[in-house]
Amino acid sequence: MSEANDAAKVAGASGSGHPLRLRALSHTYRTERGATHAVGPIDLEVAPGEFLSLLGPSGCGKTTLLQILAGFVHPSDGSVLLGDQPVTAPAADRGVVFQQSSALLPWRSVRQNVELGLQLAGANKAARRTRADAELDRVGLTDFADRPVYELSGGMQQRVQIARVLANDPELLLMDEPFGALDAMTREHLQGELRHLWRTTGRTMVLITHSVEEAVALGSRVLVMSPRPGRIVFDEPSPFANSDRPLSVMLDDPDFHEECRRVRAAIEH
Amino acid sequence: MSTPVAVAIEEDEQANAMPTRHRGRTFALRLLSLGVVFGLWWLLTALKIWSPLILPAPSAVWRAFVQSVTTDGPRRGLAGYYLWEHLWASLQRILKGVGYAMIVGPLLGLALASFRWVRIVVEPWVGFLRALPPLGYFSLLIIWFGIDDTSKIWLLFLAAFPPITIATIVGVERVRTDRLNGARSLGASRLQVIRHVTLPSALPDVLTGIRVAFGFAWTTIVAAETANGIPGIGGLAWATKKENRTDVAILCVIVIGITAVVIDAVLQRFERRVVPWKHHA
Repeated sequence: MSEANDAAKVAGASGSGHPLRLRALSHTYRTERGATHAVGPIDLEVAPGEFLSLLGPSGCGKTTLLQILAGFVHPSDGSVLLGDQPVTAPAADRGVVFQQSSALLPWRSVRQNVELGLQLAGANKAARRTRADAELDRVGLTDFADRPVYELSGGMQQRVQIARVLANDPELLLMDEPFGALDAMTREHLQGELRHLWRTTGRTMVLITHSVEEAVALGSRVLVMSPRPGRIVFDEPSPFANSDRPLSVMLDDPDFHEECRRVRAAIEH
Repeated sequence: MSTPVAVAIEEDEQANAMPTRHRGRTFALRLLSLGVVFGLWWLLTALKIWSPLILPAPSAVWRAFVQSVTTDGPRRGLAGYYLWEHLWASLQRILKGVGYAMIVGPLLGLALASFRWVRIVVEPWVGFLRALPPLGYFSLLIIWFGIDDTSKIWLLFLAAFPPITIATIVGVERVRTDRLNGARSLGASRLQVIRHVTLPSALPDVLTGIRVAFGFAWTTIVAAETANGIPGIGGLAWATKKENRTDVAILCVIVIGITAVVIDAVLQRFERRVVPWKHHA
């Protein structure tokens, strides 16, 4: 645990971060055909600057949990607190990176997409542009700023999504399989970038993934959910988030291997 | 999804999928089919199977065309107006009728898609109106608004706005949830979501609806111009029956048809300009 938290501190986690608390959180979908208990109860405390990897079998309610954190879904029981503020609706302090880049606005250029949050908040043109360009530089898309987003590759579009969320300076970054639709090479590249982003921005991040290796390599803390109704059945710090080795190299590390095996066992348990 | 609007939206998506290498051959085949029809027409009239009153020769239609653009003594064009004056009179009515529909249609569509109760109350009436053949209510409009242009423009408007409204509803409902949620999590208010996400996302479908509306209005123009429709290309076509001017009738059919195709092509080009991202939405 300490190793991961140190990393966040070294990275200069903006001291303004607030802890995220989930209290007896539970959600049941009600439809005409009956009720489905999807998630919970879950109690969880996330310190500012942590990188949470969230794993679990298909249909275990990972996405529901993320949507509750984002404020898209109201939990039927329990509460989510960011600092002292209850989470009840989507807001700019919780950025979301979606799996599909159709979340971007295709009629806007790359830069205009990144400027969206600032524009919504009423920032002036110059401030918007400065900030957007800084974020585009951070994700390596400076040369593509004026291109329409649909001309970019899938990997680049995901970077645009990350940049537009970072431009808003959110406390929390929520990512639902952001690399799930990408090819292996691009995926590995973006994993490295995401790890770097986490260290340099000190943001609290929640990553939903299907890949045990991705979860263990990137997360400072790995969580596994049970089949529906999803509860947390595994919650351990992972030391590998501090490593500079790319995932492909880490695969040769017996410790990494052993960690992945334990996590996998927790999923299949 | 079998409404004309949905069909138009689908056809559109298919047309875009056509590989370019087939386009040259498609064009050649279409030219050939045009040639075959013209050849058959010429052959049928040359064989004198029917009286020229039933089917005039291409040359007779050509003479009607020449008449329609010239003055000869007391005769000025056809029915007192040149062909382009007839055409322009019709186009103006269309532009007004569809113009009003382009304002009302998207607004109504947005309201229907956004508020459940508006939809419950209003949608059946839009569907009812869309199902009616325009001629069915034209006499009512004439009684209400007189025999001049007002009743015609009302007719064209009533024919044009339902497809636009329905296309707008389709467009609004097709907006990806991720896109809406994305904007909300960037801090967008409900109004900002509509302005920055919903409306632009629905724009391609709205434009398709406008194209359908123009098509539908144009097919309604002859009906609209049956009463006091001179000048007007539909009025001219309708008037030919009194003097058995089959040649003029065929001329009108050709002009009406070509104009419809040109309008659609112009609108498609406009669409590509305005929403180049359409197929990436």
